[in-house]
Amino acid sequence: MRQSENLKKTIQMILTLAVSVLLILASLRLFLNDSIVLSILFALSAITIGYVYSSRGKIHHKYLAPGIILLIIFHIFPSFYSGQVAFTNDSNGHQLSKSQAIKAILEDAYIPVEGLPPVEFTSTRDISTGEIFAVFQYPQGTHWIGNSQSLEKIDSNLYEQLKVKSDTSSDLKFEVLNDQEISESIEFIQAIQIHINSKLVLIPSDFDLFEAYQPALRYSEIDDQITDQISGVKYRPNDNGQMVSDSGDVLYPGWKINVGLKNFTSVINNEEIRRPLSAVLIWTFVNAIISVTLAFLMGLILALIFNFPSLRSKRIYRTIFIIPLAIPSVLSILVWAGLFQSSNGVINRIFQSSIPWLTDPSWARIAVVIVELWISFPYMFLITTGAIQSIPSEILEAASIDGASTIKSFTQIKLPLVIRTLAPLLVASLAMALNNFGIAYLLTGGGPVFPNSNGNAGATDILISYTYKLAFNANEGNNFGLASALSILNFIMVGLISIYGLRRMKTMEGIN
Amino acid sequence: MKKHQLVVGFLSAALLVFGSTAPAQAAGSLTIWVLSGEEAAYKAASSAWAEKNNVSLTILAKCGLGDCGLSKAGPAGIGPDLFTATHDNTGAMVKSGLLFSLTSTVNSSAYPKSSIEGVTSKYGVWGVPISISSLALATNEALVPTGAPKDWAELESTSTKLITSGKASVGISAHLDGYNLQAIFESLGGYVFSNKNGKYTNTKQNGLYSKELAKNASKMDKWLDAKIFDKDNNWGIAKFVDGKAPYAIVGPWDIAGLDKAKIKYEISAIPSVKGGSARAFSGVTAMYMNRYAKNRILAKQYLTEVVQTKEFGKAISEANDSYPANIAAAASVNKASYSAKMGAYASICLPTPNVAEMNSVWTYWNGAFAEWGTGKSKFGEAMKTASKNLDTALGN
Repeated sequence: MRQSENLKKTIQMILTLAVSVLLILASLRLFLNDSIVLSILFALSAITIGYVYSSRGKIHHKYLAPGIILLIIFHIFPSFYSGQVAFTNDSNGHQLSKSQAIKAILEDAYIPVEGLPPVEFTSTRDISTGEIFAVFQYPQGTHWIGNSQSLEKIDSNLYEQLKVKSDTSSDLKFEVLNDQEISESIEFIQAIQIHINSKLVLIPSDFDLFEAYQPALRYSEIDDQITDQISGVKYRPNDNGQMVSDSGDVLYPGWKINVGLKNFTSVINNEEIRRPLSAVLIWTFVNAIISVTLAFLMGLILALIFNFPSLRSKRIYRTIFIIPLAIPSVLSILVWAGLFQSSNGVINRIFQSSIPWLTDPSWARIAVVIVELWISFPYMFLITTGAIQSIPSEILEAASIDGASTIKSFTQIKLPLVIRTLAPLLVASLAMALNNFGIAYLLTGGGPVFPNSNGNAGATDILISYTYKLAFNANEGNNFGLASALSILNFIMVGLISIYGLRRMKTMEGIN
Repeated sequence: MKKHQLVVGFLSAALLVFGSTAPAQAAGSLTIWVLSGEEAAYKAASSAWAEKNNVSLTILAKCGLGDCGLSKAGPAGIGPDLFTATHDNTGAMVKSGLLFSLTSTVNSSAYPKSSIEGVTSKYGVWGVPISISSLALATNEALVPTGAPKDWAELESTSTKLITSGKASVGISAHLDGYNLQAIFESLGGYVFSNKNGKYTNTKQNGLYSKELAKNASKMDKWLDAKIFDKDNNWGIAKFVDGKAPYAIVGPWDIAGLDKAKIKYEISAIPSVKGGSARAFSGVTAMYMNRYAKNRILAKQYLTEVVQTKEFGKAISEANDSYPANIAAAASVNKASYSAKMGAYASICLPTPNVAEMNSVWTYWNGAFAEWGTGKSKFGEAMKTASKNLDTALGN
């Protein structure tokens, strides 16, 4: 008995250690990738797991800790991240930080200097600081040691000593890197930019060769402006994270900036966004209400039929009705997409019709509702069957004795009781239908697309699929800022409906 | 208490042991993201070079349409060194500062001018072309024994005869959108942005409703009514495969299906309404360098010593059933093959505009085709509205 207790504790210890170590390793990796907040979250998770599971008692914490940690990492953190992105202009052309964007603008305007042969260089490292420097000769007879931050002339003796890769004389401040060290330091070496003067910059094109470029643009940190060295035009930052000239010419890329509530207000103020979004929003609600109502009614009707004692072969019917629930919904949707093909689809072939199921807005919406009904009615059937069967038979018998007809018994006893029981599930179904991304994405791709909608919104797009298109479809401009704002609006919308539904439910309980 | 100490001790030891192993990329390593399904071909064509130069090469199928997710992965430092994408993303990626210029790396003379133009954006050349493709006309030889039409008039009259006799239900099986109908759209005088010497320099003025197109727009309405175009507007070419359409506008991705269906067909240029060949949009699959590549020097070496060689172009085209962009590799492709015929046509086609403004163009242009295709609007009206809305969207 004691032995098995010890074994249990040892296994618990090993598992605790393993999980903690994995979390610490993940934290380190995230730290090295500059994901500081996530790194701290993982480190705190490791400490929490280690503490909670190696302490005596704290049983409730042991049950709650994993769930809470996963909730923070996979729900709360992404929500806050989305929230933060919603207040930026993160989109195509605005995906870098300002320093990254300025560097990119300057680099993109480097013009190769024709006729100047590549300049040989030797990679060295400052022994005391570890900083990487290039040693080179330009022009012939003038020797330099430098990197992007500093550049100084050296005498020819030192140059001769340093450029010989095998020389690691101890009296030198620098050591020459060997091939292995060059490979290991390649990220630093490739980033070296030697500015000989305002018209000549040397950039590594190989492990030991510089190519010469002429910078067409120059950035002044003091004035925060870029000057075109050829035309003299000056570019200054505007309030949209771009460098713009007085005549309105823009230098790309731009950078990410905080735009406050612009993404939220653009939903109302910007006609280009408001027009498609209104249509999408209306369909989101109409679709959710229709599909949940129809699924509930179908489930209810089937459940009522099932409740007839005289019905035979109930098991067979039940098995058939549950099949749509058993088949993965992704598979079902793809099969339906094939069935709905207008020229070759089974449905049109059977009915000898040529209905444009997926290409006409109205028919596509009907197709979406049909598929939603197919996928969700078995669930409604199951829960409604359960709700009906849980109604005490005494109540129905009493009603019958009092002379209530079948219809009256249904409308005044069964239906209210079923709805009261199922109210929370119907609210949850409605919330899920508002976010039913899979059908919109897989069946119609949200299409057919509205002819004049920026963002390619379509007749069967719901808010979440439209948000996806804005964020992850490069053709729509990778508009992460607006997509995040819409996600937040979607969250608020679903949240409010859920709260309203739950409150209504409590009211109903009170009536009961 | 002892247990706590043990836990803390073990964690410290783990930190010392594992924490010291920096997860940075190994020395002499390259990471390349390629289009889904193409990784095996790239690995096979690069392994000898990698072995010879002791380079650890990681080739992953992470790309599909778009920019490979580089907009987030690149600046965050978790992107690849190199990646493949279709050329029409070039403008948007350059605008976002995601690419490293390959102007001094690409040997432009090894590729057709149109391919280089496809990967060229305002400051220079940004990608190494690998394969080219375009749409072409397929003719069902069972319905049209004489083969591909000599001109548009023949296509129109053959289609009408077959529809009238009940042998065909439509003339051309094609999705009604800008991409698929560009060749016909251009031959009627329409254009997206004016193209001078292969460069789209003026995106301030669109030609969706040019004067010439306005004059010819009613022809599109006439052809739609006469069922030359398929109102069903389906993706795919089912009617062509089923023998219900004599012609189809097909891409390289359709060839396997056509062969599988065992129908006799001929590939040819899409005829222009004005006579001669019309220009469909051509696409270039190219290899780009991430601006935040960890090993740019090695990546350049790989592009020079591997990707730009004839052998590489040939190997990739054979493995992926595509047409090589490399001129020397293209010369070695069997001229009678469908991919060679498509490739030959692609070389005279117009590269899909690679400017960032195309994001808006597709929306309004395709929308106009949908309006027309569903009979909600006449072709001219739909294009007029699209042109106006595009101007508004682009701030012109």
